[in-house]
Amino acid sequence: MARVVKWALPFVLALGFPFVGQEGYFTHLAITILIFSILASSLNLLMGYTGLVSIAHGAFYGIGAYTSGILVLRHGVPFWAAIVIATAFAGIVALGIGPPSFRTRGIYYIIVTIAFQLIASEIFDNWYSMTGGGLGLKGIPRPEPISLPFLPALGFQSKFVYYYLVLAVAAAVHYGIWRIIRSPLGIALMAIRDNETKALMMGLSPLRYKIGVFVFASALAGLAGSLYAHYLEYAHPDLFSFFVSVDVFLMVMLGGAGTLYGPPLGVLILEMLREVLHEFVALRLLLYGLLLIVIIVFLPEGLPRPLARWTRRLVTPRLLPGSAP
Amino acid sequence: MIQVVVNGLVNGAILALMAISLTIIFSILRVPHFGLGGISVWGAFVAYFGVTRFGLNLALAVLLAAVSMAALGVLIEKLAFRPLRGATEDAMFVSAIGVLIAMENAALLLWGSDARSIPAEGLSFVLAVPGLVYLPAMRAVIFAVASLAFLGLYFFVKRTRTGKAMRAVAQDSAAARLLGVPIDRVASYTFALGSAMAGVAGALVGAAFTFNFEMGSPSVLKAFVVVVLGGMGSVAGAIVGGFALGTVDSLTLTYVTSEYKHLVAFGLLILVLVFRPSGIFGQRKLRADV
Repeated sequence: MARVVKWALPFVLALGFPFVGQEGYFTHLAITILIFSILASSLNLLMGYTGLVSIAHGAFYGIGAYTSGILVLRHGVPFWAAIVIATAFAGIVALGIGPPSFRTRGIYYIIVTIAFQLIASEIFDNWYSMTGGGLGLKGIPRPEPISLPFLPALGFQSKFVYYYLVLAVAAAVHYGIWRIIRSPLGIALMAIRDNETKALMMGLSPLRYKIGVFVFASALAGLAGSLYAHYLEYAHPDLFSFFVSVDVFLMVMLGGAGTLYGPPLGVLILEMLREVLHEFVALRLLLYGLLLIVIIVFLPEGLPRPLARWTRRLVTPRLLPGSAP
Repeated sequence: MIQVVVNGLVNGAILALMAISLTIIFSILRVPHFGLGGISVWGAFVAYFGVTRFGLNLALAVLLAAVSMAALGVLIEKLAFRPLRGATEDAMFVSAIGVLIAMENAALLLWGSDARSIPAEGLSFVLAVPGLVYLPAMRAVIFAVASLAFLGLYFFVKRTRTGKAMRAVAQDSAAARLLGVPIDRVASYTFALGSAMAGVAGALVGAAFTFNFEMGSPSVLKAFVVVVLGGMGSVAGAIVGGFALGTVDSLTLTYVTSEYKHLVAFGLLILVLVFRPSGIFGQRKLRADV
C-alpha cells in the first residue's frame, strides 16, 4: 500500500497541478522544471550511468531550440514535424562530434565538451542571419492545435495545456530512461562506467555504447530545447550558454548522479533557488560556484542519499556490535 | 602585418604567463586549476585599486597583486583541492570550475561589470618605427615582466631546495612522500607560485588593455590550449605555445574574422586534444590508459 502511494502520489500531484496553478506563475515554474528534468535526466544517463562528464548539454539544448524555432518561423514547417527534426538534428550533431571526442578521456574529454559548448555559444551569438544573434529569435509560435475525435480541437496557447504536453513528453522520457537502466543495455553502460578495460575484456564495445548513449542523451537535450523555445516563443544565446550547461551539471550532482530520482530532485531545488535569486544573477552564480566545490568535496553522492542515511540512523536504534545484518 | 604579429607576441607573453601557471600546478600536483582564471581577474582588480585608491606606482601594484594572489592561492588549495587529494582528476576539475565561477561572480558583485584600465603614469608614450611598427611602452613592459617571471621561475625550480622538491613530487608523488618530501608544503608553494603568476598576468592585461570580471574564463581556456599545444608540463612548450597562439589569434582577428574570435582557438583545442594529445612538442607517450 505504502508503495502504491509512493509511486502514485507524484503522478496525482503532477496531473492535478495546473488546476491549482492555472495560467499563473506556478504553472510557468512547473513547465520550466519539467523541461529541465528532461535535460538533467538525460545528462545523468551520460554522467551517472556511463561516467562521461559533459559540459556541452546546454549546446545541444540550444541546437534543438534554434533548429525547431527556425524551421517553424522561417520555413513554415509544422511544429510537430519540427520537434522531431530538431531532436534528430541534435542527435546527428552529437554523432558527428562523439567519435572523435571519445579519443580523449577524463578531464580532456570534459574540456573538449566545454570547448564545443563555447563554440556553439559563439555561433548562436554571431550568426545573425540565422539565429538573430544577441537580439534572439523572437516570435517562435506555439504548436498548432491538434484535432481530436469527438472533442474540440486542442490548442496550446494556454500554459494549462502546454503543461500537459511537456508533462507527457517528460514522463515518456523518464520512462524510457528507466527502461534503459533496467535493461542489459543499462548494465553494459554501468560496466563501462565502473571499469572500461574490464568491460572491453567482457566483449563489450565501450566506444559503440558511448557514442550511442551520447547521441541519445544529446537528442533528448534537443527535444527539451524545442519544447522550451516554443513555450517561451523566444530563443536567446544566454538561454543555452556555458552557465546553463554548468547549471544542469550541478542539478545532476546535487540530486545524486547515477540515481533515477536524483536529477529531477536537483532540478527542483536549483530551480527554486533560481526563482528566489531571480534578481541577483551574480549572487546566484557565486553560490553555484561554491556549491560545486562543497558538493564535490563533501557530498560526492549528492544530497538525498547521505540525507536518507542520516535520517535512518536517527530513526533506528543503534544495533549492538556484532548483531549487524 | 608586422604590427599584427607584434601585437600577437604581446598577447602571447600574457598567454604564456597564464599557461605556465596552469602547467606547473597541473604537472606537479595533477590539479587542473582552471580557477586561475578567477585569480587573474582578482589580480587585475588588486593592482587597479593599488594604483587608484592607494596611489602605488604600477610596479608596486603588480607586486602587491602577485603577493596577495599567492596568499589567496594557498587558501584555495587548502579549501577546494586538499580535501580531494587522491580523488579523480575529474573531481578536482569540477572543484576548479567552481572556484572559477565563484571568483568571477564575486568580483562582479563587489566591483561591478564596467571595463576598467589600470592607469600607468609615465608609460603612455609609444615606441615606434614610423610606418612599420607602433608599440605602446606599456606593452614593451609586459614583455620585460613576462621574461623576468620566466627567468625567476626557471631559477626557482632548478636551483632551490623547494624547487627540487617540486620536481620530485611531479615525477612521482608517492615516492617523494616516502623519501620525506612534505607534500602539503610543496602543494602550498606550488599554488602560491602559480597563483602569483596568474595574478601578474591579470594585472598586466589590466594595465595594457582593459579588463572586467569575465576575462578569466576565456583567458584560462586559451592558456589551456597553449598548455596542450606545448605539451603538458613543459614550461618551454608553454612559452613557445603562448607566443604561437597569441600570433595566430591576432592574425585571425585581423584577417579572418573578428566575430568568431574564440572559434579558432577552441577549434584548435579540440583538434589537438583529439588527434595529438601529447601536444606539438611533447613526446607521444602521455596516453597511459587503454
